[in-house]
Amino acid sequence: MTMPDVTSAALSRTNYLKITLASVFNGLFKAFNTNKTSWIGLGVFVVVCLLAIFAPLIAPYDPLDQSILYRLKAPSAAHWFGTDYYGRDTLSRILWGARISLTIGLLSISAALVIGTLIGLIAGYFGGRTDIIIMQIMDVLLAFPSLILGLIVVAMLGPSVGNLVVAIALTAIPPFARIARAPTIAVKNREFIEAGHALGYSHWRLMFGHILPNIAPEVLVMGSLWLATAIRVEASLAFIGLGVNPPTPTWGGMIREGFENILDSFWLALFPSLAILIVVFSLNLLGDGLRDAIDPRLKGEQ
Amino acid sequence: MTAFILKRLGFAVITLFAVLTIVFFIVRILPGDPAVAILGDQATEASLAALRSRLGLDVPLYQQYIEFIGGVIVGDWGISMVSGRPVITEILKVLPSTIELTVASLILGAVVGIPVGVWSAVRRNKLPDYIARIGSLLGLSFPAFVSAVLLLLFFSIQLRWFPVISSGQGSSLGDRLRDIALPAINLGLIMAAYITRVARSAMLEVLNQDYVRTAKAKGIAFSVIIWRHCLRNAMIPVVTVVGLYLGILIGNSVLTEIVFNRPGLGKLIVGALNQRDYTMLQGMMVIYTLIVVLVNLITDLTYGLIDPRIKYS
Repeated sequence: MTMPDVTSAALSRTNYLKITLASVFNGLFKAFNTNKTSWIGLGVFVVVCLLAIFAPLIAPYDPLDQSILYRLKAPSAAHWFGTDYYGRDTLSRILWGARISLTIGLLSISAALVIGTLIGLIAGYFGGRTDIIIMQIMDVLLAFPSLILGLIVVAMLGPSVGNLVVAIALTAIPPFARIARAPTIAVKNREFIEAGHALGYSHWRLMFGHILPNIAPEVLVMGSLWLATAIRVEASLAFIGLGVNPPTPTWGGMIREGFENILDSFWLALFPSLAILIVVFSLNLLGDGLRDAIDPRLKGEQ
Repeated sequence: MTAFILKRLGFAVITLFAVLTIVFFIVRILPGDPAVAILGDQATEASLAALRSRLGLDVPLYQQYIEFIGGVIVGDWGISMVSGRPVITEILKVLPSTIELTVASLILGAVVGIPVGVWSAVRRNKLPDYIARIGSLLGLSFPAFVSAVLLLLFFSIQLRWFPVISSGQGSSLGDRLRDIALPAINLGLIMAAYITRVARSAMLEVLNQDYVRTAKAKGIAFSVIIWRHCLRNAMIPVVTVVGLYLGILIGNSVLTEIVFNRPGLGKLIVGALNQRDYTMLQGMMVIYTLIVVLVNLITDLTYGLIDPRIKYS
């Protein structure tokens, strides 16, 4: 019976964290290699992130610089993607717009991931009435179309980066709660959790130290799929007119403006459309491949 | 069976009630005084007070709440603050267009998605499977307004096959079909992408079952096994998912209606948001909730038709 004491003494807090992280990353790495398309998705997404980070350095023009002489110019050597109604360079605006899309997407999904996972973990771990009440609330939230919910929240709070993050995070919390809950229920009845109970570990220690690492890969994979959704919803809201206020370039907003001149300057709507499509598709490719790889039902079939 | 239906109905009523309560409070905490929003900030205090009393905003909150819930039940959803007509009349006027569009795209989605999904599962890890998987993943990566804009660019502006702006109220059948074609294709292909994926994974699971092996051993033609034995069992998750994706369909219909300038709930809600038409917004949320709850109920009950083994417990 000295065994558990020896291991817990050997595993200092930092050591333990290292091992946990290593196992999560190991799981993800294996998943990447089972499904090679995930690497393509990751590669494209990393390139997009780099373009967004270095937009101030690589954008050929100032995205807000207006020029009456260069209004609605078709794509050319000077302006690869043409210019808009105010003579602004479309390529530069797309590069800067990526920053807004990615910032809102990453912030909102990180928030939803943390809050949703916590809710799901609590519901699954404690079970019983707590579980029923929490999941009933989540189901009601889930029943409401997310775009409509986002629309109302943004209209209510006003369109700013912070409010868009809140609106999108709110719609993404219930799915994360659901995703975290199911494996929690499966894991909590395993022997090692029972052993933890017997050793007198606290609920928090069991939930975060022992259950969370086991459900982390699934939650992270969902995160990449929902990041795609978040970017899509942000663009949709901007298209409706509920995006970050102009003249800040956003992809959805650019398509909205381009749509007004669609009959004679189709490139204004076309290029930002392709930008959204590339980012969302790369994230879906990434998340979808990983999900297949870690899905226990598909294990052993390749 | 009766007990199951009653239980589901009870749950639907509770959900409806919960969402209506949330809707009531959301609309009440919207910043800004609706009376000022309608009359402008130059209005006299007397006229503002008169309007507040006409809108029922001068009574205590709990009384407003009771009136709101009562109104929803008897079909009195208030008067639109912008048009001055009853909210329910305005909604019912455009509801058929939206239903027409969503039903048309659901049918299109199923007609395309189910066979492609089945085909992809049967030819697993072969070329058709890869094409179907990449194609469906691409389909669900499209924000609805992006695909709508691309369709519009190609078919209406380049090829001039369809009108750029659909009125949605053409008189002849041909006009109506031309009006709905592009919006329905847009929504339908996105739905097809979702349905393909579910149909594929459901089919893959069914194909591994023992009874399929038995059927093969008996020498039944493969196509009969697929279409008669497997498809019916694979349909249960497909129906569930179609119910679950209704939210996506509704969100996408808003965007589609805007791009194609088609009358419907989507255009109504965006107009109400821009004009801060509180009663209309409230009514819109009520109708969306009603639709979602109703479809979930229908989805639950449909299981029994597909799978008689489900005992409705």
